[in-house]
Amino acid sequence: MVRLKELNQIEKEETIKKGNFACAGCGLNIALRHALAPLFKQVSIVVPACCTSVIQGMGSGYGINVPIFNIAFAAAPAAASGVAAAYRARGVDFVAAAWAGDGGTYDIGLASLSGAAERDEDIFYFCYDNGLYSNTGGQKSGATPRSARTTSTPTGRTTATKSIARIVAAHNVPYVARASISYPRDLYDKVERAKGIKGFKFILIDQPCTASNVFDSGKTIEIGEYAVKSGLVPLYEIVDGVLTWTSRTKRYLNPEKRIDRDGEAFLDKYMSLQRRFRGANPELVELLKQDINHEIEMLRRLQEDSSIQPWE
Amino acid sequence: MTLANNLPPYISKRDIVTGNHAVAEAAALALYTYPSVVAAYPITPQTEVIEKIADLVGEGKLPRTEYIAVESEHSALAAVMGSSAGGVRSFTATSSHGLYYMYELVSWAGLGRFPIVMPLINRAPAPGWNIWVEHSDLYSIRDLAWLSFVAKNNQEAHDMTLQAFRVSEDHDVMLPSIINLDAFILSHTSAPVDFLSQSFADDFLPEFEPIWSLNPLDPVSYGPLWSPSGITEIREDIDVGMANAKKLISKVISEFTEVTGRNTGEMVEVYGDDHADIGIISMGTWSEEAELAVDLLGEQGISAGATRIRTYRPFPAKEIIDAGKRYGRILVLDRSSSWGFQGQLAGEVKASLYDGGIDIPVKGIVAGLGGVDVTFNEIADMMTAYIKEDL
Repeated sequence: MVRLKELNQIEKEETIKKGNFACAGCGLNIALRHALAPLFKQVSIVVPACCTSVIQGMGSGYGINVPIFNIAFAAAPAAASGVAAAYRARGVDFVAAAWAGDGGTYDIGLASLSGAAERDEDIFYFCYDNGLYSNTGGQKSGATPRSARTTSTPTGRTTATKSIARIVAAHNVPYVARASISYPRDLYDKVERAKGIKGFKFILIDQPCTASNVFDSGKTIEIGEYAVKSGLVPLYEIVDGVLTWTSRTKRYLNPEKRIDRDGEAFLDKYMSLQRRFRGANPELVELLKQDINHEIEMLRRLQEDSSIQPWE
Repeated sequence: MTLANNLPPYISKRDIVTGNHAVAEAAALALYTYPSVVAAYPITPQTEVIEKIADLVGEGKLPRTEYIAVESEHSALAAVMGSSAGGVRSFTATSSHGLYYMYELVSWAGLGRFPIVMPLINRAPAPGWNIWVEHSDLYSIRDLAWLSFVAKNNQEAHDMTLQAFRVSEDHDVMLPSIINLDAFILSHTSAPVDFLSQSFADDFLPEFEPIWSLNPLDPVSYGPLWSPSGITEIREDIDVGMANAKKLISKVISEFTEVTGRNTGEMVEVYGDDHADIGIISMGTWSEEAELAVDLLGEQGISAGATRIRTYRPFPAKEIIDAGKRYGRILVLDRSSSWGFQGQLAGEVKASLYDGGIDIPVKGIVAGLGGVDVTFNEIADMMTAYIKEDL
């Protein structure tokens, strides 16, 4: 794993500058900074409608140190395919990436994402996932966890979250990973490793949203950590169809270990800090717990030896 | 089948091919020499265009072309916008519902000034399902900052494709082009075509030089948020590009004619009597029928003329005013309608004449919808009836 000192040195030349339009405590800024650092000066990103369309700045004012092609909501994977094709045709060694939110990935962009994955386009696809449509004021997306209240599910989401990583993995692409902004060295490492892989590379980045999920803007990192420790955001890589769990989060895949030293469940800590779970329907919360275990169980089947438990 | 040997150097072969084939071969000339990208999705009656190019790529005859077989038209246009932003010449093709499916990006490509070339095989929209000619898709793209050319036959479709690249990619224009072909009447009907040669194409069409491209070593954001006043300025510049295109089309056609001897008009093609009692204005294949109708009326001692719109955007307003000065009255044919108003072309012809201070009778007729055949006899009947004030 990259050492903290090294990471600080690498990120001195910043992919994202101070004073952009992002909210205080925005997790997206953190995702951009660490995910793009390994690709700095090599990558162009295609950005569909999402918070990145806004925070990059207005007009010629500009807060991101990476070329951006802004495009319509459902179009990023196809446009990134086109950019990559142009680079190939020109014989230049640049990288094309799509950089989209969860709405643009799980929902409106899914057909385009599936097309690019099926063609095994030699591009990166980053989905920064805050679990709802934040840019439009906080509506439910396919990524919203069960029981969470959004402006379009005011009494709490009743159905299970879509497993976008498994959907993409089912396209038999060479690289799928899940990362979190609360584990920046791991995020950096995953991108760095994926860089050496030819073909479609999908990286799902958990990124708590202070504005729409409503929490103290100083708590972004802490909430991201609880998401991982509650099992809600398991971290892993699926390389050529075989899943490897990320070691630092492995123990939390065990339902019995998802508690802190004082015996408090990380899921409770995660939920209690966010207004979206305030007054959540207990029946839905129970189902959410089952969703967590179900997803880990389904991922287990992608292990090299699927007979062992993920935490073993 | 090659019909003749000893062809002049600007012709590579003479063959009998469909309009789709003619367009694809012309696109191949533009794609061959320099890096290029094609992204496409099948739809009847366009599919042959992209199949032909896929064949050429597969056979290694387009060594510098990347071909992306996307999963939808929305992605087809997004992908060629991406490749255009990546700095290379870019091509796709579509028709009717394909265009409507990519519509969100049609505005993006036009207003974003991506010089993509896209044949649009004009087909009626559903319901009911109908794959035959109608011009409603042609008009649906009208206000989204695309250049729009309308072919009358396979040869012109071939020539127009190469000309469109030249006009679109010019730095004073930088707007995408559609080349309109009537479904089946052109797309699937074989007719003789003189194929332009690669050496002619290379002389005529230089390498695409992007004004900007996505460069990781010089990071800039394209298409971010913009202020209302800034947007107004950007939009105004589109009209400047359109006006420049008008001038450039004239130059491009005269260069083209100088070598090939072929000239089917610049903005419009005029046929028949210089000054006529009745003139007919139309676009597409039935304009050739209109020419026959003019001849037929001539035989009956009625002086008639025809003006075919060849370049629909930018609109040939000046040429329409000139037509108004030549004709006693004008009949406008529309193969679609702006429902609740009238045929689109009729409305625009009237607006242009009003701007030019021309006060003559003008009548629009909506006909030929959903592929209904309209022959020169029927057009002649319409013209005769109009002269007799009987229409």
